[in-house]
Amino acid sequence: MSYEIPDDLFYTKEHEWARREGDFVVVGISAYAQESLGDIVFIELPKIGEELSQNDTFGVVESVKAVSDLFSPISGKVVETNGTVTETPELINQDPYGEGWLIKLTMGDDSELHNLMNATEYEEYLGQEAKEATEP
Amino acid sequence: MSAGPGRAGLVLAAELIFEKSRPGRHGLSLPALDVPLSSPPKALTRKEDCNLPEVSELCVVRHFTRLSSWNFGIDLGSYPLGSCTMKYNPRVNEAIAQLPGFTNIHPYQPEELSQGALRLIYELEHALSEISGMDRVSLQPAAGAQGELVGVKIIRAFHESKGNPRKKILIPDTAHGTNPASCTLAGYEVVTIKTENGILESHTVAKLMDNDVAALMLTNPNTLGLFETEIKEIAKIVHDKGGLVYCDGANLNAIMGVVKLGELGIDVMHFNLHKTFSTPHGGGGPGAGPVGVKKILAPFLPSPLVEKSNGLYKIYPVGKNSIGRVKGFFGNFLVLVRAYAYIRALGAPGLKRTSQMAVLNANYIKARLKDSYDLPFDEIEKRPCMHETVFTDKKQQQYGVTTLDIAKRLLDKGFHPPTIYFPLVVHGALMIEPTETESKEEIDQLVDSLIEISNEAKENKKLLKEAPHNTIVGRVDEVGAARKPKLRWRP
Amino acid sequence: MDYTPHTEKNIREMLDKIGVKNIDDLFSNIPDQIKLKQQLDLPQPLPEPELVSHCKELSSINTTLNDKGARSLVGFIGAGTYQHFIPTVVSQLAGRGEFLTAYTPYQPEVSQGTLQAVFEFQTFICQLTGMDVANASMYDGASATAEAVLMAHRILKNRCGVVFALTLHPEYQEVIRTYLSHWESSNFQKIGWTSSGEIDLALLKKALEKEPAAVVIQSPNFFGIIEPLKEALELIHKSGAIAIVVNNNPTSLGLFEAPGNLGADIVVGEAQAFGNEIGFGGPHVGFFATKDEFVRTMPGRLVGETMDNRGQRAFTLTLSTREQHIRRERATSNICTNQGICALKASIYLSLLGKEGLKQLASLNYSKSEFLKSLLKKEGKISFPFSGTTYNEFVLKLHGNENETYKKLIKEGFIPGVTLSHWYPELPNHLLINVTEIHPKSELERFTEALRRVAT
Repeated sequence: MSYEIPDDLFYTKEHEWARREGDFVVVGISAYAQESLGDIVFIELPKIGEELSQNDTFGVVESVKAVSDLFSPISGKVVETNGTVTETPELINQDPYGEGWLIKLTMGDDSELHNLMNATEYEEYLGQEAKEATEP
Repeated sequence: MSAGPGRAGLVLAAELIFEKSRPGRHGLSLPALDVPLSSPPKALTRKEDCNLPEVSELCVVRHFTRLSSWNFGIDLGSYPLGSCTMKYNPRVNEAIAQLPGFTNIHPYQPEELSQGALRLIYELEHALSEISGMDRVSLQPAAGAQGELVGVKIIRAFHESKGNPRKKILIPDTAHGTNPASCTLAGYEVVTIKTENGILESHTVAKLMDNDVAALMLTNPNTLGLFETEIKEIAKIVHDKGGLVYCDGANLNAIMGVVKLGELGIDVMHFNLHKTFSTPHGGGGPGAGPVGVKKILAPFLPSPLVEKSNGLYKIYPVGKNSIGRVKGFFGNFLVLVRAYAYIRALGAPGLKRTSQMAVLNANYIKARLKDSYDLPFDEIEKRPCMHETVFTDKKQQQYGVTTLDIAKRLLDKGFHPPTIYFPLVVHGALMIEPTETESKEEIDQLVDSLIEISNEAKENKKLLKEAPHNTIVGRVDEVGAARKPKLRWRP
Repeated sequence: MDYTPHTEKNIREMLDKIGVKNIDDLFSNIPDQIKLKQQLDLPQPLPEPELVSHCKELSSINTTLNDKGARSLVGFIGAGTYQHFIPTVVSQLAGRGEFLTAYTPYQPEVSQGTLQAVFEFQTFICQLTGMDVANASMYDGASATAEAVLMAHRILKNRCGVVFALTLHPEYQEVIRTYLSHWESSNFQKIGWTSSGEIDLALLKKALEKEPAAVVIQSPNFFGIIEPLKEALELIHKSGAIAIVVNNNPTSLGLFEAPGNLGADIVVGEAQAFGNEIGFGGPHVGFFATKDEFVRTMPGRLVGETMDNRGQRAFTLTLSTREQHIRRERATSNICTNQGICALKASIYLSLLGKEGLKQLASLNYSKSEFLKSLLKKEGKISFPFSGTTYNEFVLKLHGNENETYKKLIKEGFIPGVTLSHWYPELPNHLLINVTEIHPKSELERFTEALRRVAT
């Protein structure tokens, strides 16, 4: 199965994406992540002002039968969270790269972005993961 | 829902009991007030009435009788729920547990007035010790998970008595979810052991075992229905590094009278009386989760431990090393009564035959189903299973049919589905535990139904996707329930 | 007697299909050297008639409470588990095999009976306690209290420590200690009582200075006294801690203010008094209720209302991601099996009792207890150490020795309650006495006379 992987984003191994917007970075989860979780029923996001380091957990996303931590792709301060998705978490399923965004961080060290995968690398990574999953 | 009582034939609807309330009705006759009426100070009294429903006795009887008719239970048909041991719950045990000499006694009445109850606790402890090969058994824990907590606390207390509680507990990835949850509750870090081919191998344990590991927690037979053959070697590896071995006794039904866990290097274990010893599950409980230990750990057990001296049964006061109590009073005594009656009825030959027939039934299912459903590991395919076996939905997936669809369709055929999506290491798991009390004909019907379903998967996928069709409610919107939780009735 | 239906012919056919010669072959993976060589050493199996008579014999050795049986005594013994009248309907309905022999309702389509009954239980507990949300039951009041303390620490992640009143049931205190035994002992603060038998609010105020996560207060407390919850909860909230109120006889909520209406954050306790027998201490049924805002930190199962794919109302287990089978080592609790049938009994009982019945029941308990107190107050050899308002249980002080008096009262046909010295050495010769609707006036009078005769 193939998933939408926009070219202009950076990706983590835990399936978060990061989009540079000037001095800020917007973070969400990938189409693959929302698809494997299934219908998302609950999301917990950090408080505005919270300082995150790269790979810190910043929240939790839940479906009926699964829970996943959310990991911050970069270091930075939370300046905005998506209040609409906490009310209607199905937005993450419907539009993971758009209306289903999760948090906005200040951009500190932009070299951190380059520790992440680009779209091609992420696609390859998903291919590997899918292969491992089918082997018992 | 229709306005009349009938839904489909004689399947009767029931509103919530609160919706049936009519002011002025009542369903209980209380004794008359034969002393002067007193009232407490106004400042302390309840300002608004508690709005319990106002209904007649007959209304209550009909309400709960109708509710009961929407349930599936062992009394209605096969319930092959893996790891849950849904065997017949003998009716005689229910009658015995309702004897006033058991129900109307108080845990704080003097011991001399409770000799029958204390003797029962004493004899049950001894029977469980004999069955398991453990030296002492505390009957206090209310359920398997609480037994685990007690067991892990005992492990901690043991290490603390040696000066270092240690940090980690090793748990195979096939374990029940309660295992890691209990360890965290007792302050331990959980290290998951990745199992290969469904079996725990001694070299894997050896690699992970160090002086920070307090214990290895395993289930034997494991949740894939396989006996851990290297158990003695594994226990030795753990013991050599000063660790202890805990066994989750959830699957004891496979090995009674065949092997004793206490002779395999297990130091502490729990029993699930509501599985192996046939006390009913009651739609969730109550159960009982006694904990058995080897002599070296006995000082850490919680009460009640009953001793006999001069013909009197006495509750043995626990020493300063005991982990303390985990629940009030003496545990779920009336559950203990049922388990005691079960063990007395079966005796040694009955318990052994129980395990033999449980294993026979599981292997028969495996033999009949292996062409229609995928077996996930070579080891499962190759070896005889114990009391349960695990299939997957791999063969059905090519038609877009999943384990969930298979389970729901099985409801239409009059069976409770197996445990699904557990153990977590098996993708799309269907875990079947028939138990010994199912007859060959019942099992044949179950297997025939599962084969039919695998054919339907090829020919009529829609039938499965929309299943169940014959139940009082159709597939339930669990997503909606979780997104907008409605957890109580409000007027 | 075993319950296996297999005939010799069945066994043969099944072994043939499996492809092995005999039953032992099925156990071939268990190494021979560890297999048992002889039969288990257990008493001979008993056929049903002998089993029944053996168990009847065992049960008949026990002295029962207030049931007019051959060995029954009149008992005034409570202390955390209470004998109330149980209507016949309760056991008749709860004993139905469809309820009794079902597992946890993981398949909602064939478990609507259990699920709806649990949803009703959750509602009952909310109504009684004045809280927003309640779970599908806990093992008992003691473990529910310990779970509440753990939950308070999930809510207030930056705080640590629990304060509890010494008037909390001593076994509940012990269970909190056991659940948190890996904590430093400085994390436990205990609060004494005043001459009224109520929690000492001045000491509470002081304890709160250490910024604990949780405070646990039981009302009616172990001495039967209604605690000053309003004042205590105000203090607790001002300090930012989570207020946990324990109630182990919620029949009292027919008369006394619900803790939720006074601002409790978590209300836990024991619902045994509703339709469940004392049964030598179990199984009973713990309840657990809290505010909506804390629902995701709760332990235990929850049933929610939803719809099925045919547009009908339906019930299902929900918010399961909190639980051990999904979150494993990070679950809110390790609880799995709970007390389903006991919760069902409580629901049936409360349905029968109804709004007026609950008030009447509580009033009967209160009035009868006050009546016995008034009779005893006339006796010279007894005093009442505490002045606080009680519900259906109270403490009296004997002038003579507790053991002698206790033994003599048993000879007179009474189990007079429990002595407190076992838990409170500073309270020698104190008896905790429980009176419920099952005690007719005549028995209260006879008990008073007996006590007059034997007290020295």
